[in-house]
Amino acid sequence: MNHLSMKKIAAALLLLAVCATSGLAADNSLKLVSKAEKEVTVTRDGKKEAKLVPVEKALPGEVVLFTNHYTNTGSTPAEEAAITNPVPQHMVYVDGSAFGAGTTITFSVDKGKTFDLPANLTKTVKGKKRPARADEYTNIRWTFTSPLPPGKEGDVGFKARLK
Amino acid sequence: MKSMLKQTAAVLVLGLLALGTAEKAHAGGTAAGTTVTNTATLNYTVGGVGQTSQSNSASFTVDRKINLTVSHADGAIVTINPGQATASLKFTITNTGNSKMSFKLSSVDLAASSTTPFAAPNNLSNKTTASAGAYTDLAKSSQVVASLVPDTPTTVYIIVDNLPLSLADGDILAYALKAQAVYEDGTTVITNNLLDTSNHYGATVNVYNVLADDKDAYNDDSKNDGIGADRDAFKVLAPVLSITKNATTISDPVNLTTNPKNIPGATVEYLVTVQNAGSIAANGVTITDSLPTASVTYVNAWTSPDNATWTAVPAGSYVAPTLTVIFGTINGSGGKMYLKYDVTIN
Repeated sequence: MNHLSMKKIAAALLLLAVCATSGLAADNSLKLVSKAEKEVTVTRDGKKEAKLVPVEKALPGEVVLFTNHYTNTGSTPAEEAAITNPVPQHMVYVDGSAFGAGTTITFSVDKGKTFDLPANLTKTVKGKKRPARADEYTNIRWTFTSPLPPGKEGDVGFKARLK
Repeated sequence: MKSMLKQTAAVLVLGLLALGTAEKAHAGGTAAGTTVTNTATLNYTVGGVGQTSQSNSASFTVDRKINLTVSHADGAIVTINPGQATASLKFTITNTGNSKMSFKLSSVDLAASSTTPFAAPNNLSNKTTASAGAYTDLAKSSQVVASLVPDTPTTVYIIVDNLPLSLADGDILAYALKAQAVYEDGTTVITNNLLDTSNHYGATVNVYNVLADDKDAYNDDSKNDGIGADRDAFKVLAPVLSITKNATTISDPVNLTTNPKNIPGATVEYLVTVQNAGSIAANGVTITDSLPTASVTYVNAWTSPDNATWTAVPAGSYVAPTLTVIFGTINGSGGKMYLKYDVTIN
């Protein structure tokens, strides 16, 4: 074993140690930033276009876009990552509005106890089972289909209507 | 395929029904001043160890949506009679916003060509002498519906006093009721899209006032003006009496009953016809007929033939030179009564 290879092993060990440390401690190297926006129509150069603006005025019936921006600020991949978001109080989930690249989107109708795809969700009312409606979803979960490498960032989100 | 279609239809109906119920329960919407917060949680593992990241709270405040419905609550046009002391038009006001709201009331005396839920165009020849005012619950002191709770309809009236005797049968008196959103003082009009920094109506944070109302069916108010309006109308029902008098010579001392002439001593039969062409019965109808006693002499007791429309047997008396007969009631829509008596030519 020459000097150079010793150095390599040391470096590899060090890297391993760093990995182990970051894995054990709650480093919160995945950052999550939530924002609430709504779509307004603005006229620019005589053309009407949709624009997202922070929610300043909100009235019953209005649709709000909630976006969660995630960033892996750490140096290791995040595995089995999933973002959960309760549908905010006073709001109703807008059917089909949830989005998130590279994720499987599931919903809950029991306040987050269980999650499933919309087609599998049921609601039992007065002893009768029926398909659950989108306005009955209580929580949304985005499960990432593959690990998030360091530096990876993206958006998941949904729309909800103010009751 | 057929059964699948059926299933889809069934689910759709169910969904609509349930949605309808849900919307009814929250017609006014989330209360103004409510804070809506969104927080997401991110769970992941690094090297098999679970980690959790919490997002910030993205939140916003629900603003004050001001909306209302004003609708006439009379199922049919309200009928009135000339000279009636007081009459009212009934309306319902509902606060469909998400905050308590006071509404200032006013009534508009509509022009003759106006359209109403019941009649158009109008025939308003004599109505200007009637005084109109909008009042809540018939209490004439107040013209403000104070701090109306969302989704709770309240009844208000337009009251018209001292209806003139000159109102004609078939006249339409049309009015619009307007209710305008105001602050608790009952006078301060609320401006659209302005921030309420004085915490009106129990708000604990600053909220924007948004006038979300539409214009009414008759364009008595505009979209987003904080005013709701609707129209209602009175229809005047009055008897329309006409009187005709015919004289027929029935005998003379020379020709007897064959082609009798109006010579002294001849008998002349008078027939007085009173007809009511109006919409309603005329009550207390009295006929007075003053005879020219210098030239004629009242000879026999009067009769009132054709009693089909009598509600009471007429009563009468002759006190020279006047014959007075009390007909009482003559029904509307062409009801007739007759008075017949004879005189001799002096």
